[in-house]
Amino acid sequence: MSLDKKIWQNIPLSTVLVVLPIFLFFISFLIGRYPLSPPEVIIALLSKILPVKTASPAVYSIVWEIRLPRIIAALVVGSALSISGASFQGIFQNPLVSPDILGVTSGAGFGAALALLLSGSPFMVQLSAFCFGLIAVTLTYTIGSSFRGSKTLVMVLCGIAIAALFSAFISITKYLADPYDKLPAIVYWLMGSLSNTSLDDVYIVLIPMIIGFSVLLLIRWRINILSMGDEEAQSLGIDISRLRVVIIICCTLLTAAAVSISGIIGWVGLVIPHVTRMLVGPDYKKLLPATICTGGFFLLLVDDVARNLTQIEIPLGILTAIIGAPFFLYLLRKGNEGWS
Amino acid sequence: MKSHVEVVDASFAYNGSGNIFENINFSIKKGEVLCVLGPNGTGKTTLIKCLNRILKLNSGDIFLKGKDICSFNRKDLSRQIGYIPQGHSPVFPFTVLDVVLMGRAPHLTSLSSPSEKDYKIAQKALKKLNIAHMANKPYTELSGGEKQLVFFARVLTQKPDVLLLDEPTSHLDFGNQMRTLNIIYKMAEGGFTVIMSSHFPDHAFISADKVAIMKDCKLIDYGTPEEVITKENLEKAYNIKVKIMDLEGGRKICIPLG
Repeated sequence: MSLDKKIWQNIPLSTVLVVLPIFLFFISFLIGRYPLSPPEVIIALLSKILPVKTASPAVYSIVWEIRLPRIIAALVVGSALSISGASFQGIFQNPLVSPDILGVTSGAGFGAALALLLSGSPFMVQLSAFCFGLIAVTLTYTIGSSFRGSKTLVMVLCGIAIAALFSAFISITKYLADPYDKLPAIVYWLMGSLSNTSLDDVYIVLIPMIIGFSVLLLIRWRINILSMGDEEAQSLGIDISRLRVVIIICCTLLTAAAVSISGIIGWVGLVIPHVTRMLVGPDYKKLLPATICTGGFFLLLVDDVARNLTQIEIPLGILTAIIGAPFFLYLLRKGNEGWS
Repeated sequence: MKSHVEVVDASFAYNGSGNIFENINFSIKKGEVLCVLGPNGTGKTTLIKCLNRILKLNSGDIFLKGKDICSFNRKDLSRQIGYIPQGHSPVFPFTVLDVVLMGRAPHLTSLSSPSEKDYKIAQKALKKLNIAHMANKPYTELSGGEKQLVFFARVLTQKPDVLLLDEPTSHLDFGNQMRTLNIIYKMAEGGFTVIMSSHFPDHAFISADKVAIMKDCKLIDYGTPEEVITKENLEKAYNIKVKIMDLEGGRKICIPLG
């Protein structure tokens, strides 16, 4: 009986969580340096499948080649970072953990910097960022597993060390880079941006993204149990080391894929899970699907601001930090953020 | 009648250090309550964790209905053995219902979430312990006694037939201690085989069928409460003077004299 009531109370909220990102998805096509009207956008979007003609080829190319890739990338990157952050907070039993806790962003940052230094081809940058992100986490995990003691704590400490190591490598590449050409490219990449996203970038990361999202959604209820502590989870029949590895692999695939499209975007993976917990509660069965909506919505909103607020684009990573950090402090003050 | 849980020559040591306990032997029947007594640091908690295979014995065996517990996989083992840890606080404020629902994990496939049926089982367990009104309260805001009840409800949802409890009464007030012992007694009547560690010899008189006393890594005595909880054994175990008195109604009580 109370269960039915619960579902009733959740219907409006879950609808809102789904409808808002879809609404923003369409709004985002309209705004930009070249404003479009809703009919223009609708005709342009439909022209791919229906025999209708857009007013001008320019409108078609703005919608399909510039705005659509960027909008999809913002939604996907925001969702990926948020769902990974929420999952990591659960398995490390620590609400202050973000997706880069095991060094994935520093590794990816180094991979991108190295590729920018050596070749500069966008495809190589993305591939190298993705691979070095995976390498960094693999290092953290193998070194962390070889120690005795509390696995979660050791893992986090190893992650900090590996992240520091790769940050040093990033500094070396910056130091070696040509200050007029390569260095600005590296610095700009590290600040995070979606301005050069093409649909190809999104296609490349499609497979790791799909794997990450679907596996996490399938096992999400078990993250509840894992967050109660290792011994309790074991006594409830959970194979904790296997489950933890699966979750770490999924989060790493998602984060590395996200970072390889967008560069380093901080705070989303830390703040969005908390905001979502305030909305739907801590139960991972509801939390993970909800973070996909809130994370995608948030990053799309921030990206719309980034490309419309001023004449020149503001790097996304800067904006998420400017919005995220004060908001996080506000949450801490408010005190009912969904963890104690 | 055959034994339900049997421990044979069990020894445990953390890697590279001395034995926490050694040569432990005992067996209990279905529906019996075993209370493990002993001073701090004698390995009671470690023994409980070994019984649940959270830790693995260095030598010796533990048998569940005659089968070695090492031959079970985690999931099958958790359908047989339930565990109530010492009080703790999770990081996230799950509702009481969510916590109780976790007991369904051993009965679900690895990719599924609890269904309507599982919710019903969890709610039935809450009703049985008279805490149905707390279902939507955050677990983290409960008192120690209420948390203990939630754990019992979770064990009922988990439906094992052995129940391990690590010092179930240690953080509770006078009244809650007795209420907890009553629940343990009732669960044993309902068919649970119970193994618990405790700091209170009196509690063994109240609720236990068998008592084991551990001291310096070893079991110094094992048997019924009347046989084992003696002046000599308690003085040996705790290094204090003890008096054991008979209360009206045949119950006994231990008084430490210092």
